[in-house]
Amino acid sequence: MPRAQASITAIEATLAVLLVLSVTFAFSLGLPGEDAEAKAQLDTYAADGITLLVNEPPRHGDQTRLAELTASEDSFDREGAALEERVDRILPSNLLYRIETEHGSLGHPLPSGVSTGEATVLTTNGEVTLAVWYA
Amino acid sequence: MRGQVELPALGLALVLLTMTTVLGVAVVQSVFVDAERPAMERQATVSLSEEFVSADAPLTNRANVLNATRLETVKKADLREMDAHPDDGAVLLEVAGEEIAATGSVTGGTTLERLVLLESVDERVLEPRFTQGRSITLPRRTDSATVSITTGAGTTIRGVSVNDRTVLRNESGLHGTYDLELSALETTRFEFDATGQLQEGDVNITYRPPRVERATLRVTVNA
Repeated sequence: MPRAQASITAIEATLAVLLVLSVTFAFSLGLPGEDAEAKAQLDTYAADGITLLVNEPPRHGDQTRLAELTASEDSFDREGAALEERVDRILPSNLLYRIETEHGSLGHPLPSGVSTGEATVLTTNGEVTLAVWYA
Repeated sequence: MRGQVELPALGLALVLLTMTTVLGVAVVQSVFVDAERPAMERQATVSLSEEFVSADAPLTNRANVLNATRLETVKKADLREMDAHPDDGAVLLEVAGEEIAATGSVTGGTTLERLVLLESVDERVLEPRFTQGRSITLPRRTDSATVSITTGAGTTIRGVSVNDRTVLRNESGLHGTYDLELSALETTRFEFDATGQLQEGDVNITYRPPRVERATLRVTVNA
């Protein structure tokens, strides 16, 4: 029997080393990086923005300003512009936003392929969602 | 015979495998440690920032609305006493880009920004000229005002009413400084009940409308 064949032991050792290395490699990939952090920051911005808005006193007869916004289409049209101005004054200038209610939306159109942060509150008349992203 | 030739190869293979395993475990361990530290820091930034902006926090008037006067009094010790302050670590608190307090030097670390409003009290003085009757409307809503009455001879102010409610009354004449509690939810109109001619300088009203500006509260934790 010719002895030119590779040793079985050497082949087994090589396979074992490869196996261990592949497991190690998986660990270096699998942990969340900076993307998750940026998303968490945006979610925090959105939550803070909506917290500030939801505590604003009403401009007319309803319970809060956001409740007035979501009461009806008429009140949405009436309150929209003033609220937009208000949001501009609350959010830092490096953020763009969109506010969504069942009667319509305010602000900038939602971008695609950009990570956004979102927060929703419930008013007596319906839900209001604020989405923010970096300009 | 064959088995003996394999013996050195087997020894070599075992050494190689052991080295790779040790190396692999070391790498995984360091990856875990690296992931855990920012996670702890992140947890601390979230809890600390929540302690600063929540509605019942000592610094806030309402949720996310900070009282500017109280913010100035925050000291290093206050920061260290907070529940979420890491035992061995440094925390830096900045509002609107200015350092408020820090426990230790913070380099790198994990940062979280919160959106807040800074509410401060603006003191303004209004001196009615009484050219258009004996009432005056404050241009801003406010929750307190100080009315100072210094009428000259021949003029007597007997009563002051706010939005048709009498708040001060003295038949023989009011004189001096009076602090009034008002409602910040409605516009305030003062009306003076006086005998004789009211002139500019007879009355001045100091009122304190809130001034609000946006800011970001930034918490950096280095644990």
